[in-house]
Amino acid sequence: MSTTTAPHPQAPTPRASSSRTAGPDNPLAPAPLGFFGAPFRRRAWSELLYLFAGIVTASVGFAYLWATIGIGVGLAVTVVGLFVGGWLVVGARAWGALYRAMGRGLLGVDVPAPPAFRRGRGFWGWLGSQLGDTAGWRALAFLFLNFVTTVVGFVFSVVFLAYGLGGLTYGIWYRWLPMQQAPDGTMHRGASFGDNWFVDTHGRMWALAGVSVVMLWLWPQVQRGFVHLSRLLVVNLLGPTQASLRVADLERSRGRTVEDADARLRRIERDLHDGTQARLVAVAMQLGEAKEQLAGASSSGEGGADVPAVGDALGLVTLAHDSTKEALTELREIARGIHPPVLDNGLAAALDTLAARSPVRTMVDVDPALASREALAPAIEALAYYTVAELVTNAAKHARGSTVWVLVEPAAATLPPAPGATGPARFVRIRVRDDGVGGAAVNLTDPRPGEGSGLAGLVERVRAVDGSLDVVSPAGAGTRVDVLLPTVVPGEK
Amino acid sequence: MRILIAEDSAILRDGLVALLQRRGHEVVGALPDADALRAAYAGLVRDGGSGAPDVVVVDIRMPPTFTDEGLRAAIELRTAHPGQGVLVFSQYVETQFASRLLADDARGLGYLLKDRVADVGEFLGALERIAGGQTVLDPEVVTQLMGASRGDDGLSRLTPREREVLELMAQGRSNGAIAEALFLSYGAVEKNVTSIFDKLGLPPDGADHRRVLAVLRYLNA
Repeated sequence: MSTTTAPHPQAPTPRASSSRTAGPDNPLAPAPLGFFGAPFRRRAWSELLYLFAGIVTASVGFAYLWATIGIGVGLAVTVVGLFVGGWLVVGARAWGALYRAMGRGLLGVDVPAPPAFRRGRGFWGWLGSQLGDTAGWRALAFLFLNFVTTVVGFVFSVVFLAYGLGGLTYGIWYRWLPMQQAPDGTMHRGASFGDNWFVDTHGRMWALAGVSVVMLWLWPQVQRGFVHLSRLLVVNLLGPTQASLRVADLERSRGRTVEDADARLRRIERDLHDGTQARLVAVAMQLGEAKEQLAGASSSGEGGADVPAVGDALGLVTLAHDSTKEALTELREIARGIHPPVLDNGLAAALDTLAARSPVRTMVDVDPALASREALAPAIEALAYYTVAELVTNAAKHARGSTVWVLVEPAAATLPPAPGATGPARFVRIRVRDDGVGGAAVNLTDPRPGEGSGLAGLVERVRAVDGSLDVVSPAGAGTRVDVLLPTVVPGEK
Repeated sequence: MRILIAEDSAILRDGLVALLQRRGHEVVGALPDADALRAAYAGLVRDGGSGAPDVVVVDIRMPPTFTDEGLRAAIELRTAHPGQGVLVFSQYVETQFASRLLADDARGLGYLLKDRVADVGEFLGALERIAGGQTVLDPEVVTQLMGASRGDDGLSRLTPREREVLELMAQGRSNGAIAEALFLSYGAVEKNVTSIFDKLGLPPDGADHRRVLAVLRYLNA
């Protein structure tokens, strides 16, 4: 998507969220309101309401910010303290959600939520993912900056509005003001500027009314300036970052690629089955018949001189017949390698055949919870099948054990979060274990061709869907491979 | 023989019909999917129909879902009409399909790879054995079922030679045919067969019945 890779040249701070959410009136460049009509527009009052609500929430939010820093730093010496601090950082996301809702309701900016928090794997991973939660820290920064703009904006807005309204109606209420004595001893009734200048003549009252009108008309403009600052903060600090949008975008296109590849393989296998294989079987059948007829003709020996020719023809047809049958067998293996059609009957059915064809004793157990067709996305099902096939083949080739056990079951997600990724909630765990010699040296980070390259290729395919593959292979104690795959391709709905 | 065919590939269906007719068999119907097969079979066996075919030849993978419609139709047919000769044939052999097909009575059943049609004589022989109530399994089916049953104690006690014999029994061969195939004397085959029955714990009552039970032992293992 070009909108996320090429920032809008006009936007002051290029965030894709702004260019995406911009409706007919871009919130970052609002169409100027008519100067005189402004105070009577709904917008001026909803912005005032925003500042009013904001002064309360910003104060509490500001307190939250200092509590986070205070508690986090104060308790940082203990591990528990770090966790509390981490939770407060992640908890700041709630403030982000509140302000996004306020922005949507009162300011007309629809900012998408940042990617959900994902817990890291293991104790330290968990802690790290908390303390390093970008969205949480950005929300904390927002709480600080927003407090400043809200308080100052609120004061300015209220002063302009109150002076405007008060000055405009001064002519009515000044008479209830107490009498004051000026330094020269004269008595005055009215507001005073300095201690010697009273608004108690008609001329001065009209002048004050005029100033008030100007202030009243200025009020929405001033208020809008501050609210606009707030809006910029919401858009830039509470939405997803450019990087996280890019990650989500890449994840989507990668997911599409994975699914497209799977769909294409299925189509190729179907075409082979319906076209080439069927045609080859028909050819083999016709050759078989031709062979029998020629055999009959040559053995009956009618026509004397023709017999050698018939014999030659029989030899050729027999050769063609055998080649065709071999081609059929090869084609079947190729088609099975492209996409085993029995996968359409479920992973369990496909793995049963796989186990039966395996050169070593292979025990397969697929959790019945995975039996329903909706349990796994087709591309994941195919990946799971090829994963097991590869691992069983490896075990048969290298382990020199008596048995391979395969277990496929649903699993909870404990994967480390990819920054900005929107991960699937459910996973399937594949365990392949053998009782062989173990000591499988798997160089997953820098695979050399030949040695463990099949496994390395497998790791690549597993990682393409944000899965994981772990090998435990102590010498002499068998090999255990744990594979975790999401039940749907990430980025695809 | 009277034969009913269900196969979605037109080339193969027409070829099969031509082949069978040239050999003097009657093809009572050639249909493109499982639903048409059910309707045609019902038409044949109802009052006034020409009667059940000797063998129903059915492809496993047919429209609309291209998964196992043919297999389901075959199992349905066998449940409704026990003993109806059915040959299931397919481009692939799947262990689970074989187990499902052979879960009950295996007599008069066959499961062959489509490739076997190429050997015309053997294919027709298989059809005749099925019509005669025997079980015909593709060597590939047998290999897979042997592979799938590696955990079973009774089968694991068999010697390699006994395994070979059992494999051929499962393909529906007679003792004579087995002797010929393995270059054994008829007596040696009989000895092996008796030993297989013993090891699988099959009671001696009517050798034919025990043969079927021995075959089934793979499948349910």
